[in-house]
Amino acid sequence: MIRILKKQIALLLIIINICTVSGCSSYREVDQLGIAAGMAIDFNEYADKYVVTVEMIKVGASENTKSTISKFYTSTGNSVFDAVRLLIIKTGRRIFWSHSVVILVSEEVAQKGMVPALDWVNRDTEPRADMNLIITKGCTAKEMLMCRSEPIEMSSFHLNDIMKSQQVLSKMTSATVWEFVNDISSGLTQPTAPAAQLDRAEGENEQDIYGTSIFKKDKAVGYINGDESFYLLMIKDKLKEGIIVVKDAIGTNTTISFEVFHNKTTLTPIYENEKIIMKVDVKTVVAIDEVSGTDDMVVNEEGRNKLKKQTEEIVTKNLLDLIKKMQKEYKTDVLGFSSTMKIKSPNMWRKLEQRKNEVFQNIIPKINVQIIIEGSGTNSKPIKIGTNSKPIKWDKESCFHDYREALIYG
Amino acid sequence: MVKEYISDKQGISLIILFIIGSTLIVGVSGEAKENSWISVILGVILALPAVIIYARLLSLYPHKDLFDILMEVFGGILGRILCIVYIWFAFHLGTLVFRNYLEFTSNVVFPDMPVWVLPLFLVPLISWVVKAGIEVLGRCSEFLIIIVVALIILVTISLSVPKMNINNILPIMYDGFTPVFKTAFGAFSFPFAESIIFTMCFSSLKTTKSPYKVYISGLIIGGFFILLATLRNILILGASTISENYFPSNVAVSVIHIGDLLQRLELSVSAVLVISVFIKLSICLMGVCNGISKIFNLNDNKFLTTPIAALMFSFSLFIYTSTMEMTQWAFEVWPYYAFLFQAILPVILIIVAENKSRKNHTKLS
Repeated sequence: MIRILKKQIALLLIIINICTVSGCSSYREVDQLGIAAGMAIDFNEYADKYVVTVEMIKVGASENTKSTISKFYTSTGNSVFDAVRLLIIKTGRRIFWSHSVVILVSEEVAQKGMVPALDWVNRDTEPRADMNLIITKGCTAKEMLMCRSEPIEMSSFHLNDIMKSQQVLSKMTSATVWEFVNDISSGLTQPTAPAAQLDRAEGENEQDIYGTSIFKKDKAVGYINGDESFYLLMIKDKLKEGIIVVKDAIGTNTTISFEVFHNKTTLTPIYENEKIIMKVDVKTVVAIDEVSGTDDMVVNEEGRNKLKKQTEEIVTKNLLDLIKKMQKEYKTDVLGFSSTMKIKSPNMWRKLEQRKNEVFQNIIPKINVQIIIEGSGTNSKPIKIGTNSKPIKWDKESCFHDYREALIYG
Repeated sequence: MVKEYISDKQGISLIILFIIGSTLIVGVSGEAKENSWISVILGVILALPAVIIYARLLSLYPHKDLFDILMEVFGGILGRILCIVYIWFAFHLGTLVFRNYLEFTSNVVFPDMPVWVLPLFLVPLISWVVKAGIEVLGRCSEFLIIIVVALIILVTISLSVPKMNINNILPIMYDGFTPVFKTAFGAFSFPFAESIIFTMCFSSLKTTKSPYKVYISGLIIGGFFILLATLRNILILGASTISENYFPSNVAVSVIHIGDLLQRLELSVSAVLVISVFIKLSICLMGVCNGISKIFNLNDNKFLTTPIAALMFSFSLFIYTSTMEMTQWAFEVWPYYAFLFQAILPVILIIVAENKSRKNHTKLS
C-alpha cells in the first residue's frame, strides 16, 4: 500500500515539476526582446554626461523584404550604465546585450580615458567581452553608427564584417574589449584600437575603418594611418596577409605589388655600453601579384635581386619611421618592446623597470629585413605588348567600312 | 547496517571530481599570476605527503572512517571533541562550495533568477544520493567522470589552442619564488588537501592497499586537470585579466570562436561545474552525516541528510555578504584556517595512531 502511495507521490512530483520548472524564469519572448547589435559611446561636454546610442535589431515579419531592420535609440546618463538603462524609456523594453558585436567610442571619450567607457561592458555579464572595439575619428560615435543610408543593412554587423575581413588587408589592428583592458592593466604593451572615419564623398556616408588609434595607458594620444598600421602589425608579429607596393621598381616606371603570404618578426633586446638595442628581424615571404608595366627586366633574375633589395629598403625605412614616431612623437610603447625585454631578458628588465617610461624612448632600433619572393602568380612575365603587330587605328571611316562589310558578308 | 563497498576506480573518479570541484571555475589565483601553473604543480607535490598520511590512516584501520579512528585513538571524550571539529570543517567546506556555486550561477549564468531556485533541486538531489549511500555515489561518479573529462579535454583544451599565446606565461618566475610558493600553499589547501574529507567516508574501500592507490592517483589526475585549466586560462587571457576576474575559466572559454559555428562554449564550463559541485557537496554532506551518527552512536544516518543539506544551503546564503568577501576569504584566510584540519591535526593523529598500533602489534606478538 505504502509502495503504491510512494509511486503516486513520485508521479505527482514529476508532473508538477514538468509543468512548473521546464519553462524559463525571467522569461522573455524573442519578439519582445530588444536585441542590441552594437553600441556607441559619446561624451557631452556641456552636460557632463555620457551619450549612449544603441542599434537594435528589429525583426520584421513581412515576407518580401529582408526581415531585419535596424533601429537607433540614444540616451544620456551620468555613467555609461546609467545611460544604457535609461534607454528603456525610449525602447520600451529591456535591451538584450549578448548579441552585440561592436562598441564604438568617439575620439573625445578616448582622449579623456577609456576605462569609464569600457568598464561596464567588461564587468557586466550580458555584453560579451569579445566585442570589437572601434574608435571613431572626425565624427561622433553616434554619427558613425547611424550613418547607413539604406536601412536594411545592419550598421554594426557591417563594421564587424570589416573587422573580420581585414586580415587580408592589415591596415588596422583589431582589438576586443578584454584584450584592450588586458593591455591597459598589464602596463607594458600599450593598447591600440582600430580607427573608423566617415567617408562623406558623393553625398553618401560610408563607414571605413582605416588606421589605428594609439593609446598611452587608457588615453588616446595619436593616430597612425593604414600603411603605418601595416608596419605596426609587422613589428608586433601579427601580420598575416597584406600588400606591399613598390613604386618605380628598380628605376623603371613599373609599379609592383607584392602579396604577403607569411611574416615572422623576432625582437631581440641587446644591452651594450649602457645602451639598449632592439634587434628587429623581419622575414617576409611574398609573391609578385601585380606588375603594372611591361618592362621585362623587373622579373628576370637580376631584376628580382634588385627588386628584393629595394623592397627590403622600403620596409626598413617604414619600420624605422614608425618606431621613431612612437618614440619621439607619441612616447608610448605600442610596439611591445618593453614586454619583449621583460620576456627575453628578465634580469635586464628588473634593473630598468623603475624608469620604464624613459626606457622605451631611448631604445635604439636595429632593423634587418629579409624578403623572400616566392612566386609571381600564374604568369612568369609581364604582359607583353606585341611589337610585330600593327597598331590599330580607330577612326570613324574604318569603323563604318568594317560595319558595312560585316553586313554584306553576314 | 549493510556494509557497502566501492571499487578503486570509483574511488579515484570520486577524488578527481572532488578536486576539480569548484576550483575549475574559481581558479587557482593569487600573487603568482602568470606562474600560477607552477604553483599548481607545487601544490600537488606539497599535497602528496598529506594525502599519504590520510591513506596511511585508512589502511591502519581498514573499514573504519576518520571518526572511528579519532575515537579509538584519543578515547571517547577527546575523540568526540575532535570529531565535532572535523564535522564543522566538512560542514563549512560544504557551505563554501555551495556559495561558490551560487555566486557563479547568480552572477554569470542566471543573473535574474532568484538565488534559491537552483538549490531547490540540488539540495534534494544531494540528500537523496547521500541516503542512497557511497556505492551509488561511486557508480555515479564513474559515469560522470567520462562526461567531465571529455568536456574539459575536447571542448575547452583542444579548441582553445588557436587562441593561446605563449608569451602570456613568460618570463617564468620573474617575481621570484615567494609568490609562487604562497599560491602553491593556497592550492594545497584549496582544493588538493581538502580530500581529507574522504577519510570521513572511505571506510568502504576494499583492501588495505587501495587507499594509497585511490588517493595518490586521484590527486595526480585531478591535479593534472587543474593544471590544464590553469594553463589554458593563462595562455588565453594573460595574467592581469585572470587576477581581476572572479571566474576566469568562463571568460577564457567564452572567447573561443571556431568560425561562426562553434562559439559560446562557456556552457561546457557550467556543465562541468554542476557535475563536480554535486559530487563535492555530496561527499561533504556524507562526511557530516557520518560524523554526527558516530558521535551519538546512531545506527542510521539517513534521517540526518535532508536537514543538514538544507542547513548547508541556508548557511551558505548568509556566510558572506558579497562576492568580494567570498573571494577574499577563500584566497586569504582559508589556506591558514584549513591548514589546521588538513595538516596539523592529521599529523598528530598519525603519530599517536602509529605508536598505538605498534604497541598493539608488540602486545599481540
